[in-house]
Amino acid sequence: MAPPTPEQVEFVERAMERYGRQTYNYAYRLTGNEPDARDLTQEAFIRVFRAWESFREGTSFLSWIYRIVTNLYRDELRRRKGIFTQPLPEDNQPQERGPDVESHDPIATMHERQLSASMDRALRTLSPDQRAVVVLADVEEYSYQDIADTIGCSIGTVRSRLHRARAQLRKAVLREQGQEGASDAKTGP
Amino acid sequence: MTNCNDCRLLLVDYERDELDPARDAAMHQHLQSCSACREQWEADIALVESLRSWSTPREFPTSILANVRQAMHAERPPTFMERLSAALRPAYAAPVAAALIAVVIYSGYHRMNQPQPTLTGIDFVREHLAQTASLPSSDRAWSTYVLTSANTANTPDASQSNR
Ligand SMILES: [Zn+2]
Repeated sequence: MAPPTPEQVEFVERAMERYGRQTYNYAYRLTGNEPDARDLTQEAFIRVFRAWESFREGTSFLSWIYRIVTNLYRDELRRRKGIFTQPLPEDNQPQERGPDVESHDPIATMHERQLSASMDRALRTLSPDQRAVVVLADVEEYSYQDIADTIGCSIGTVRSRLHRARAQLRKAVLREQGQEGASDAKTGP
Repeated sequence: MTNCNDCRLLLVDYERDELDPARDAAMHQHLQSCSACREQWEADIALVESLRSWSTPREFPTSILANVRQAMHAERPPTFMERLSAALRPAYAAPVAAALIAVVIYSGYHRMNQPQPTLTGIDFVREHLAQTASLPSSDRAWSTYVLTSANTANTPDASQSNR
């Protein structure tokens, strides 16, 4: 392997500084847990380091690295036969919270955690491709065109995947709410 | 143009603002008049909202930075000086020093274990006698005592078996 140039190292350093957090958050939204998100992000930046010369000036770096993360996520999920690490309860708690979000009401906090955990479970019912489209479309707020560029498929595919994923997610969330309602009724006063 | 079936198919696109102006206007009109489709639309918006609140941003773990840097460093062929300083690092210096010490100890031990003349009490006394006999003031009584005690000390079982 050719020795890396200082520019190559500098490229990766700056990329991590500018896009590390976003990339990590994207990986977290795909995997739903911290250790896998860390591994995925790390591996993505190492790929960037190795293939830095294939990055074209004037194109979106974020699209490029999201594409790498999405592919890594899909491959890894296939390798693990569809199962990523189950998130631990504390994994559901974001590290950074605004003061307005930080609730001192324990019931509200618990409710928030329950919602987050049920969304985690609902998202796990999606295929990796569906999950990637939902995260890019509904969380990252990418346009169909940007999603198509990032994932490397047609707008039509993005559209149909999002439609199916939303329907599937709606069903899963309803199921989760039904189960929560049932368990609340059981444990309630 | 918009009936409920069309509306359901375009709901996601409408909510995402991905429709052309004519279709967008038609959807808007339909949702004003159809409560069933509006309910569906509101449910969709609620779903997206809960997805966004689920995805509260997290800090970038510094361990990623460290590991990527380490990987970048590992892929660079080390210079001569780096290889030399790596060899002299405490992590390596300790085992190397231990190995050297082990070699020195082993060779010393090995030399000691070579077949060597074994010194017994008798040999020591004989040597002493040889040295003192040549001297004018030799202490013969002392020499005899040492010789006898050495002899008895060497054969403790003989006296016992004679009983
Ligand atoms: Zn309708």
